[in-house]
Amino acid sequence: MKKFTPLVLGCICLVVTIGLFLFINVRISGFVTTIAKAKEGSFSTDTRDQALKRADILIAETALNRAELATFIVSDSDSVRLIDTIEATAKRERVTATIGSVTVVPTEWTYHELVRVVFSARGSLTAMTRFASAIETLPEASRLANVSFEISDANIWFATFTVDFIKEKSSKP
Amino acid sequence: MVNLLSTKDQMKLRARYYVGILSSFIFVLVGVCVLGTALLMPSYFLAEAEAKASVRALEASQESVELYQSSGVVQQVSLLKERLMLLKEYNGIQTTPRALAELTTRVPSDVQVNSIALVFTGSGVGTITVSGKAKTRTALINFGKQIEVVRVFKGASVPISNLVNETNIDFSIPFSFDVKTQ
Repeated sequence: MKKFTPLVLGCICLVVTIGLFLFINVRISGFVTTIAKAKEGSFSTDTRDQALKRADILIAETALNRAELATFIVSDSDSVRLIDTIEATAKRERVTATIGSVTVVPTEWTYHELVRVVFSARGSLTAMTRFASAIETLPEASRLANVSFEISDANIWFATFTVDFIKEKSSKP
Repeated sequence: MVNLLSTKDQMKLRARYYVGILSSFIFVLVGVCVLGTALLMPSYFLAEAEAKASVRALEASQESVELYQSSGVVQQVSLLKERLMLLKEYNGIQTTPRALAELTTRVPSDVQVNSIALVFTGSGVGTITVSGKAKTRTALINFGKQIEVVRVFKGASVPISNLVNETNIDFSIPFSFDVKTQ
């Protein structure tokens, strides 16, 4: 039995060293995989980080311009001002305007919604044309949705305007 | 040469010889494995350090991104993008005065326009419906032709149903307009 002792000892040592060798290999392979994944993640994150840095610079440098742009957008507190503007424009163009309704129209936009103002006006065709022109060129971001002109018996034109104004959403996303 | 050992001793000796050879071979393998493991150790420590550094760099980068995102930069940029898009679309092109001017100057004396309705489908683009009364069929056809020649108006033609009567015709002509591209 004594003669097999080196053989048994050698086998045990071989198993232990092969195990250690394989363990080291597996660990190195694991580290390499971790490095590859981290590098890949870093690449996309770095690209995103760079883009965000540039966006941050853009936002910082355009603060004044953005504030100026915001003046063309109606805010929550501007609804009364909007009605006043339409009535003042009507007065200036010598037509009689009556506000019918002011409603908020839901849209698919994230930060803005539409305020639809329906109003009627009465006057001569020339005055009505000037009034339509003034309504279309209001400084607020707006657009005529529809307008219809009808002549009455006394050669007075009656028009119904539907104007959509861009408004900041009340609830921020 | 004659082997004087007994067969049993010979077998014992042969067995010891082969066990020795096998043991030596196994110890050589052990030596190779130990050497291999020892040679791999620098790579092991290098890979471990590199992996930790890469993970740390990734975490730092992710923290930076999260910081920017929490500061609302993304929202500010998308707000700006949406606002610019809307301001481009809702930019107040003077459409109605031009459409009315083009239309009213082409109404013949024997045609009376009673209503004009404009429905906008976009900035400077939409449809018009002109309704009224024409004294004669010829006057109405003439009015239709007058509208047709205007560049901002498209598809203006008197509907056949409006031409049933010869005189005092109630008409309604729908057509589209586009002052943006014209």
